[in-house]
Amino acid sequence: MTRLRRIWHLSMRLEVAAILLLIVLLLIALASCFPQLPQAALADPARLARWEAGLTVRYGKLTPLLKALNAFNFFRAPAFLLPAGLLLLTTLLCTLGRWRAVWQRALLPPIHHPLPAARSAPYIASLSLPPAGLPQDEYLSHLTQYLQRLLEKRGFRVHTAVAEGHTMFLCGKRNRLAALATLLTHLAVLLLALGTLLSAWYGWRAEVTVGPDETAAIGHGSGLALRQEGFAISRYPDGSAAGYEARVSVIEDGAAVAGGTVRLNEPLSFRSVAVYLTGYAGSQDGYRLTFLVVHDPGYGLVICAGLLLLIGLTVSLNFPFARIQARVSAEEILLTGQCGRQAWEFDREFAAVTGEIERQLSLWCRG
Amino acid sequence: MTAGYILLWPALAAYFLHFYFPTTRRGRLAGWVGSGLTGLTWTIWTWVLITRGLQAGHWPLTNRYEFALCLVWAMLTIYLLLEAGWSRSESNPGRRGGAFVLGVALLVASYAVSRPANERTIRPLLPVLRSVWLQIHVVTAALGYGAFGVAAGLGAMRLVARSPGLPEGLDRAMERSVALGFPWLTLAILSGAIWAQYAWGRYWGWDPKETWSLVVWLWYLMMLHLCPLRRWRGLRLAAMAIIGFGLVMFTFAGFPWLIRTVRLESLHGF
Repeated sequence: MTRLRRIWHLSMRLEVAAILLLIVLLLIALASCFPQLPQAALADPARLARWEAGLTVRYGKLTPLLKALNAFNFFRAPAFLLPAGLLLLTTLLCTLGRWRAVWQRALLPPIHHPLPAARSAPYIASLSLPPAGLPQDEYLSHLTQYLQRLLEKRGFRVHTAVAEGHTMFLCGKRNRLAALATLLTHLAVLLLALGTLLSAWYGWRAEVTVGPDETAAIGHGSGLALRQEGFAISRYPDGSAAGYEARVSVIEDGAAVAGGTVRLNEPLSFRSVAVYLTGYAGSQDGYRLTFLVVHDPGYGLVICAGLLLLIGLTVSLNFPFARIQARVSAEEILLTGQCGRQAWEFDREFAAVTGEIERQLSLWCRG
Repeated sequence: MTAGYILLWPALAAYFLHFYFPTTRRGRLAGWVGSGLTGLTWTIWTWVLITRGLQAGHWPLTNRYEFALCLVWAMLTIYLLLEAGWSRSESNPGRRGGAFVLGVALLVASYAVSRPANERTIRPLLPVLRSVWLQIHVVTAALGYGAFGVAAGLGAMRLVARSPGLPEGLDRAMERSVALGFPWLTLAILSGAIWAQYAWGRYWGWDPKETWSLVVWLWYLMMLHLCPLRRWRGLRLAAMAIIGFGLVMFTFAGFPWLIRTVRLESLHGF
């Protein structure tokens, strides 16, 4: 049990995450020095044999050793999957370990009462109040309203102002949900991994070559076939290619169920498959076109996770949490400030707020 | 373009003068001159990019030369914005940072002007680049890399800075630049993945360029994880910012060398 707890705490340490990130990036950088087995070759023995023959020519006697080390299929090898999996596991444990504290900080109502952490707050200021000609309650209420307006003007959301006897409490928060962004980021990384696994396990890709007015089956149990209806190359005035357009029909049970034009960057989508134009070759009868047909159930999840990651990173790095609390009594205003690490200019802001209050108090005093 | 490049040199010299004599009257004046020349360079650079884009009929983001121009523009933009936002506090790098950030920008600009003429010639857009994702992918990458370039410049300054209070301010400024650039790099990779799905039918293929962009992303992610730890701040953080930009430049400029040397194949043109 103690060992489990130790592992749990270890997984939440930033150094552990940093070390794992370094290991993964070093492995990736190393693997980038070797050609990696193309996915298409996995399903095509003839292509695989050609690719392996090319490796032997290039690396000679070293080929068997490099193959044994999985240098050419590194991203599917345990040497990569293990540290990458460990990194994901620590991400998961870190998310689980922190969510309660983060959730509470972001969503639970603030504690206003005697500013328990006041003396240990990173920013603190005590301002003596000048005597006022107003009744005490009215004076305090007047001050609290002023503070509320001041903080709201600076983008703080002033949650509550409660009174206890002759003391008023006030708490202004800005970007209070920013703490949740870290959780969102970690969650997005896990979803990204899940999407990648979905793509790898349930996705498929098929290369289909079709001559003019010919039909070719896509395979993979889809029951679909592709028919080429035409091909055109548009050109710039200097004669270089500006674009390629292939007209195709998707055939199911002998009947066309979909059709359209496939261009570079514009695949034809039908149900859960997408058709891409990847090549052409001229022949006497016209062009023989090569299409890539892709079924990728993980893509949507990967992109959603990517967007979540982006939102999480943007918020957590650039919209930091900040809080200013105030206790207003007959004698003084006690101000405390706390902020996230990325609140770069909060010290200046806290000083500016304090200065503004002091100026206002001196004005009232003179008035 | 040449005028913009040439102007960077006196701007750098003025910033250096300001760095060594920040409190003297002449030193302060040199700081103002540095900022003025950098602003002028930025204006020329912007004008060059706009006119090149108008001449080409497409955004100037289609080869290594144009990307280097955009990278310098992004670095100058981010640095000038940061310089304007920094308070006059002793702990902020202020104009003193210009000497180092402009040094990094000048390195990239020198790379741009040393590109062969055929790369500098405006050419029609390749069919595969005719996509809205080109603009999103390349502009966001330039902004991300630009912010990392600024962080590297500040990191270099951190290695030599001795003024009281300045090192802490530099640590914050470096972290701020990385925090600014990291979401842009993430967006660049994400938009690249979406574009790759539209163009090649896969969002990730361990292409060497993709792999190295992931290396850069992981490096800065590691750096952001270490930033909160006190013992990793200071010179270590500065070294990480410099190495990080080294990785960025390798991913951008060293990539063809890698492809050639180990005879790899890549679908990425630059």
